[in-house]
Amino acid sequence: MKFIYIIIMLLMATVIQTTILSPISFFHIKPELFLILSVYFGLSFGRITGTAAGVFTGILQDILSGGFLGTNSLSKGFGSFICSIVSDRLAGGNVISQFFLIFGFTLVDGLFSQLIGLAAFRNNVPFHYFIPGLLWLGLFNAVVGCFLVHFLNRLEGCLMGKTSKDQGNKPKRNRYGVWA
Amino acid sequence: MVLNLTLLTVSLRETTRFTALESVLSVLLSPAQEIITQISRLVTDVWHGYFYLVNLRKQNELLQQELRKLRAQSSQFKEMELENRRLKEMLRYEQATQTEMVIARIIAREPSNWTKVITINVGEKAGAKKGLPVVTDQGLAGQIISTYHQSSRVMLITDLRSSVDALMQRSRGGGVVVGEANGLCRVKYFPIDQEVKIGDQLITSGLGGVYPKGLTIGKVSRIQKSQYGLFQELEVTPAVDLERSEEVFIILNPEISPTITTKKSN
Repeated sequence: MKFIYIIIMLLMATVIQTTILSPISFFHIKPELFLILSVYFGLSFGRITGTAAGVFTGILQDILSGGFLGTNSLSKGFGSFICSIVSDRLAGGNVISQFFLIFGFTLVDGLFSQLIGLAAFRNNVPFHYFIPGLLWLGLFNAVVGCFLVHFLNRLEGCLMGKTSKDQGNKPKRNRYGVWA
Repeated sequence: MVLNLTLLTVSLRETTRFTALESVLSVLLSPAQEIITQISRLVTDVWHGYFYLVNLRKQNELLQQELRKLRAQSSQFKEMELENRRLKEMLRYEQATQTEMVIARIIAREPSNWTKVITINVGEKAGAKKGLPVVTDQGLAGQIISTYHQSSRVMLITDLRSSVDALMQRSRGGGVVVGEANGLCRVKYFPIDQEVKIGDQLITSGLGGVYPKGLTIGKVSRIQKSQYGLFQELEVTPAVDLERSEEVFIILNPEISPTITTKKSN
């Protein structure tokens, strides 16, 4: 069930990111649904499943970008892993921590892309555009991501509530915001 | 009968005799008459104000629906007109060049902010191959990097991985145009002693056999000269509006330069 849910989410994100979101950009910057989904998977599905889902998200993004396989899968997988640790140790379910997680992850992901560009193609995004662009992208992703993660948590809650065999014990989140 | 005839005769002869009677009747009856007239007016107003208005509201709603439908149709016709105009322009360009081209529609765009890759709806079935150049009537757009049965992926010239060997059209100085992922390109290895001005046009040099010679790449928008070093860096605005383009051409025979043929006037 979780596997099917992850696949459906990724397919929808792919379609929305490459078609509907494309015209919505400010100074050539638009929110990255793959990154936001990686954070969500890490926060909601625990270390193993969350990290695997993050890696799979990155592989999908690499295939669509036509770049080296492994570039985005490494950064998304790593990001999901960090988010899963944070959700275990801190209150990963609240909005403020989600905001900073998505913002921080965007910065790390952007820096990683820049390094790969320099190492593999001897080319990089000019710094006068890259640094402000990355900060704005981080802010954009964090704002959109908080709403999206909240919505996905609700959706997941509805689905898990409906498919739970034991109707008396509906799944609940613990104090760290992780589904018990 | 006698009384009636008497009254008639008297009133015909003396009209003023019954004025007092009329006044008394008027005084007694007029308030009641006024009240009843006002009530009947109120009932008429309610009838017209409410039932008529309800009818009017329904008519209004129907008309609004019709207007919305017509507006949507008008918008669709406008879109078809614009597409028709665009395709006519592209057809004119295709007919003017001697190269063999296939028109393709852009169906998806890049999945991240740091890569500039689009997906088009023409694949191997229609003759697309890896490495073929992709253009519009305005200039060079990119290169096909992967093909599938009915679609292909195109790396735009603004992608970080893209590099195009270029010539300055005016001064004939050479350089390499690379993408910057911010919608612009940069010219690397442009000799520092070569003269260049803002607005100078860059075209493909044809070297390397990937892109045919003479395709417009863009215009110089910024010049960065350092005090030391062998090269100057130029910022280039692509000729093609890659964010807004909807259709592109794939050049199937890139070994032939797409020179525009013009008819000689007699």
